[in-house]
Amino acid sequence: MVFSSLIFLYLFLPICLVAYMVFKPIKAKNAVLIILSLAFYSWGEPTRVVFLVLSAVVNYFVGLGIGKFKQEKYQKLCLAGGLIFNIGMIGVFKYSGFIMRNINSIFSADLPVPEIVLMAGISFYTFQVISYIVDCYWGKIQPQKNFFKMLLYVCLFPQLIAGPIVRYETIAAEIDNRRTTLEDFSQGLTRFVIGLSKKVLLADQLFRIVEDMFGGSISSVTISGSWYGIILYSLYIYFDFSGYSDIAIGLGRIFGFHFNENFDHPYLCKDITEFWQRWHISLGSFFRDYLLPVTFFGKRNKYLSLFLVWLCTGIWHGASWNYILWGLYYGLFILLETRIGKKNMNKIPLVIRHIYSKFVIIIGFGIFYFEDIGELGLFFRNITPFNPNGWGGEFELSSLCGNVYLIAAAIICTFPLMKAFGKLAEKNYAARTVISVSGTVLCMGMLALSSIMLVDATTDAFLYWRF
Amino acid sequence: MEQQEKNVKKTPHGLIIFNIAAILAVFAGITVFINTAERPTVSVEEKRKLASCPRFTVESYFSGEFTEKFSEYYNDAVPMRSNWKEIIAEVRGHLGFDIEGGAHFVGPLPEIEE
Repeated sequence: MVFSSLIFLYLFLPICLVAYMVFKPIKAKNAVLIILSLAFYSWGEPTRVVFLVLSAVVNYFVGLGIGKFKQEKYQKLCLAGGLIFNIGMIGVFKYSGFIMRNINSIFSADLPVPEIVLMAGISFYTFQVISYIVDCYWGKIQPQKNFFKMLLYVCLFPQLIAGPIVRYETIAAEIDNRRTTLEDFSQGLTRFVIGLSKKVLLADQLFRIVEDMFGGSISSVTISGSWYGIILYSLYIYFDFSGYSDIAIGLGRIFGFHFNENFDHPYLCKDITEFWQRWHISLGSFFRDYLLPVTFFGKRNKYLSLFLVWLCTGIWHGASWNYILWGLYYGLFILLETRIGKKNMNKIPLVIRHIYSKFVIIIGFGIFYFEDIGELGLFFRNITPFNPNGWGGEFELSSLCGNVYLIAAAIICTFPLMKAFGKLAEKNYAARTVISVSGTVLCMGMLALSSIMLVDATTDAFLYWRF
Repeated sequence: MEQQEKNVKKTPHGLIIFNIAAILAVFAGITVFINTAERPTVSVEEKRKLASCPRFTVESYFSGEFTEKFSEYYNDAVPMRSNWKEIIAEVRGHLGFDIEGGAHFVGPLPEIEE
């Protein structure tokens, strides 16, 4: 079930809210969330819920095993078993087809290629359970002894499909005991509407223009068309993914959970290192905390470890060469920035750093967009003066003028507007009242307009569902 | 002084309740409307039959067919669908402006094949 669909908003969510509010004991609230989360996940493909529950069962016992054994070698054995199971699950469901296709291609073999349908959210919830068992092993958390609480952590529907990747320690206390204050509920609702609007009013509309540019044959796109299309794609992907995270965080707040932020206005970054501190924070911090400390190549070879992290970041995004390239591309720039050093980077004029970072990010999303390597090559040709279609103009200009308010709104919304209004509201009560009431009215309008726009957007799922 | 600062930073209770009540009112209004109003069966403008409510069977549920078709029905046969479509077209027409004499394309450009 997609968050940005009428069936979720006006059938599933009302049932969920009413059922959750009706029951008072925390056990009953947890039971409601588990049942509805499993119903949410099984919608459209009921069998996949088996693998979700299996993941919860296996990792529950791995956690218990780590907690029970006192000798480190047995704890290690449990952890290794858990990691093999989890990575094996992703490997089979996400990468087996890709691996077999490449083996066939490299060795001219004719091995059967498994046609396994990718389970939505497998990368997200598998990384959650990996963080759980590793944290148990490191002694950062106590293993959960109640299976249903573990199941709730794994299947909680707001962040199940597309993150953020929530660590167990973040919500462990709230699984046991939580209450939704009026402020939580209010902020959760507002955040939910903002996320929905980002997705429906900005991302979906921007994607229509991107499809105008790249939906046909890439070989006929002009230089200006290629740049225009990929800049809008960069905006689209931000609003699509951060919109989903906003909805997840908002729903979490409504149910009394406080998830960590997943985005921090990434396009305000001044370099690529900073971009990754602001973009998909939960994934970046996962690799930083769980992969980077593992000294695969010895302590001296930190650059190789860095490349491994970026290779994994790329692979995590999908079973396709362009994602691997995309990860390594960022690894290269982060390596470059590490070599230059923070002090020297700061000496570069701010304007140049902004231009450099946006240029790298936009080109990076070009690599991300074109899964077909041939098309990616054509895209690289098309953004240079070697493009045989020339600079173009009329079509791009017509599209730009026809969508100029949308694009302007999208660019403005990449800035931290909420923080700015928040600061303004702190000045005095009058400002606070005016801003708060205006915000509420705006939210009402955005919710109504988003709902109307959804009548025509039945198939626009979130991009990160694929991962 | 600190207390004064805290008071300024804390959102007044009334504003929180107003925010919840206002957003929930829109949410509840649409929920009631979409689940109780009559659903159309055909779209005159699009010249097609809209998706119909599928029959529930255990097999169709476990095969995923029921949920898929129900989603299709729920999102397709929306009450007052044609009115919302008009509003959507109106909104999309105001996302920018048409340049004089310029053409406005909607959707991917069809490729010309020999």
